[in-house]
Amino acid sequence: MGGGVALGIPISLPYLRRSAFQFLSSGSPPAGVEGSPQLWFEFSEDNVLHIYAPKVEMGQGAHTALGQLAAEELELSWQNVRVHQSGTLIGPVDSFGTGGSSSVSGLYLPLRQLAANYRVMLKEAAEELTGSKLRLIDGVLVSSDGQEVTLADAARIEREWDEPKKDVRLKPSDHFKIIGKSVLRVDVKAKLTAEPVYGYDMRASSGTTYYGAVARSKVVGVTAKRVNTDVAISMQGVVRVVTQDDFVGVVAETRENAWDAAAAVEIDWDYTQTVDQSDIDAMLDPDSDDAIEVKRVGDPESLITSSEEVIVAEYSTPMAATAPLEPQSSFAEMDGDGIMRVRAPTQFPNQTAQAVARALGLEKERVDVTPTYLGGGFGRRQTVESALEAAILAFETSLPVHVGWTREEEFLLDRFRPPTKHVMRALLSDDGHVLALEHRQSSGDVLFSNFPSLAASVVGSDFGATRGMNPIYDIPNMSLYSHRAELPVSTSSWRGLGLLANTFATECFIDELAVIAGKDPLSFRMEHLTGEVGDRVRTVLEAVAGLASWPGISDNGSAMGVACCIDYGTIVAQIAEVKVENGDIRVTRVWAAMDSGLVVNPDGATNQVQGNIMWGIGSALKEAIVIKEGKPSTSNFGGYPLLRMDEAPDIVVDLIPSDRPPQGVGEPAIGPVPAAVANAVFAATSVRMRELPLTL
Amino acid sequence: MQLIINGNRHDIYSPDLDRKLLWVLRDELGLVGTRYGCGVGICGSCTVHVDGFPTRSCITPVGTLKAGSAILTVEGVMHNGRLHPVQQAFIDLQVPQCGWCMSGQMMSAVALLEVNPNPTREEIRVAMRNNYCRCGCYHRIMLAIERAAVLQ
Repeated sequence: MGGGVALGIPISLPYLRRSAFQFLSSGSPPAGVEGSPQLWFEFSEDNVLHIYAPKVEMGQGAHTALGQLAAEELELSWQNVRVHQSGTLIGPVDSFGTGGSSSVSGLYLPLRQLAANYRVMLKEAAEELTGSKLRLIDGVLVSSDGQEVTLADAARIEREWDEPKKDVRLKPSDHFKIIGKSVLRVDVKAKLTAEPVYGYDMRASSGTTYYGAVARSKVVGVTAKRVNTDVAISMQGVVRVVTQDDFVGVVAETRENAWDAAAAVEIDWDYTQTVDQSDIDAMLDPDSDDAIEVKRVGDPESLITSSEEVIVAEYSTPMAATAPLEPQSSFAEMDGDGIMRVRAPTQFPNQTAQAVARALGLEKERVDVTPTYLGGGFGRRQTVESALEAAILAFETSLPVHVGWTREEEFLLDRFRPPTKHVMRALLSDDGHVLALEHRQSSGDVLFSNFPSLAASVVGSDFGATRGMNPIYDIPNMSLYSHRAELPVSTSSWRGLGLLANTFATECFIDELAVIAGKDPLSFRMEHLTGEVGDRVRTVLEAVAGLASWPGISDNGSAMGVACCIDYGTIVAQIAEVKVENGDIRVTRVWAAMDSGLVVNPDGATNQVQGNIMWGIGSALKEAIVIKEGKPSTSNFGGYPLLRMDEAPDIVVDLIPSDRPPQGVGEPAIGPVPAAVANAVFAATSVRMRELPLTL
Repeated sequence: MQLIINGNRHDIYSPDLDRKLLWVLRDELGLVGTRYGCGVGICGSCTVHVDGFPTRSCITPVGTLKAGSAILTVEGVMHNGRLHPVQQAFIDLQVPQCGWCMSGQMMSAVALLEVNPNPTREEIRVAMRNNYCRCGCYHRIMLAIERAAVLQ
């Protein structure tokens, strides 16, 4: 049935879907944060501002950047600012969560506005108290005759606090003192001095901490038929075994006791449905008739089907593990007020709290989830199963319970980056321009794994899986199609979502077209940039070309490749230099230029670009998971080696100055990396590789 | 048996003797600075010093240690409340992102600088290659070790 909006104007479902894709691929994700200033800000007596942030800190610098935004409008020096994590019961609520590279871009204006309004509220209160006009200087309100009221004192004045009826004017960016500076990030010292700030560090506030573990199958996607806990319950240190419908958990005196007992629970599993990689590969079908059109310009199909000079190339990417270095864990205890208190490394605390409340049959107001620092998020911590597991065990036993996953559980129960296949088709004009381009992609679910199935039928294609498909080039005839492969393995958000796979296919193919057209790959890209966005991309490409001294032909077996992408308003261009020796690919240097709008913390942004490049090289050269006999091909790092320090390239990052507001920084730089490496390998060897990981 | 952990004597009784040093440090003694990444000695997050040698505590059963062994963890590298030059350098260059690998990185770095006070970049890369950093801070770690060599 074709959809129509309630206005009675027949808007077709495909139109709605294309609009959704356009918005979601180029607009900002929701920030979704609300709350009065007093929910966010608190002054201690020493006139230090304490900010309670609903966004989580996973090393991406969100807490620091948000602190900078507030400190700027409240005219505070950085040493007088602290940022704390707010929990779900008190403090500002974030209905979205931390992800999608949206924390700073989404809160840039709202948080500054909140802080500016609060500044005016405090100033007016102090002026009323003193009867004088006051100026705010470095945290203190001062009158011309020397009266002083600290912001902390002003905040304590007893009065009816009303927010300003009209939003206060924000500071112009040329007056910034803290925004745009690489201030010391608020989490650095704690992480380097062994402070207990992670999920795995959480323990009972008083008394004994107990440890929990869950009985698991060795393969994915099977169901339990029969459970026998007789052995487990008699093992050393075991306090309780909790058996529910689809959950068998153990509580014990030590972590190892719990792990051993969980492994000793005897379960008959129904193995009739074990999965094999060949099943998965067969389900990826880019040319499927069920593919959904996500964008169309002109009429590429007629041109392509009527020509004999169609250029076709197929690309693929494998599943990849998220592998945050800290395995997930959560701590839960029921406090004296009947509130279930959970500490968990969750990117989506509100959702975690809702899941806990639902599982325990508690009202939402009886569950508090306060995130810890995350030892890596990368999308995997969107769902933190250990929070539910710890809460169930704590609830059933009335004991404080810490459930820590093993690395083996992390690999077994990962929500992988889905595998993808791409078929790219194009036509070149006589003068070597792209006349028509078609990108047909097949992917496992990214965001659809979290959506109710109804939403899928409205939105059409998984906008997480199609992220990065929208080309930055001006191509007169273009179509993008996405086919949903409903795979029997768990796939979901992985850093950048579809950005890496789609940029790999697109930017390698563009490179192939450049070679066929007989043009330099960088110039070829430039020739297809038009309009305001095209101008910005050109600036970024020129910057990276300058950094790398492109084209950098060398005589020692090194060669360069270029790739670029736009993601959530951020433009990134990278050049990778590789050296190929004895069939070994080594990435020696990577240059990156990024226009992410105004950068709140340049050193923090640089750290993110560097990290994204390491991730991209890991995917380009090493990382792949296949399913063998129903389980992931590896249970630990021995079968999934990460990039090491002596394999890491030298990296040069150039942050392009911009007057646009802050755009995404946490993920965009991952996009171009594998394509840049593949293109460099082609330049070095004339071998075109279209599958990740790249193997000669 | 007795171990000397960061200068303090600790009596270890069975059944803790069968446990890996990592969990005795973290769960029994509350020294959570030593971290758990893989449990099979690959990632290096659990690196401590045993009698001066960098050791993977996640695969070291306590009972295999010599009685009276001196264990140094990240909590113990500070001297008289002052940060170790490696810690200071890691702070100065704002090295960590998620930070989970950093205790192990610093313990490996401290050990490196004790035997090679002025390592080249190549020597740093080789010595540190067995410490994973998933967030990709390798470049900064290398620069921080160079800086620590100067600071100490």
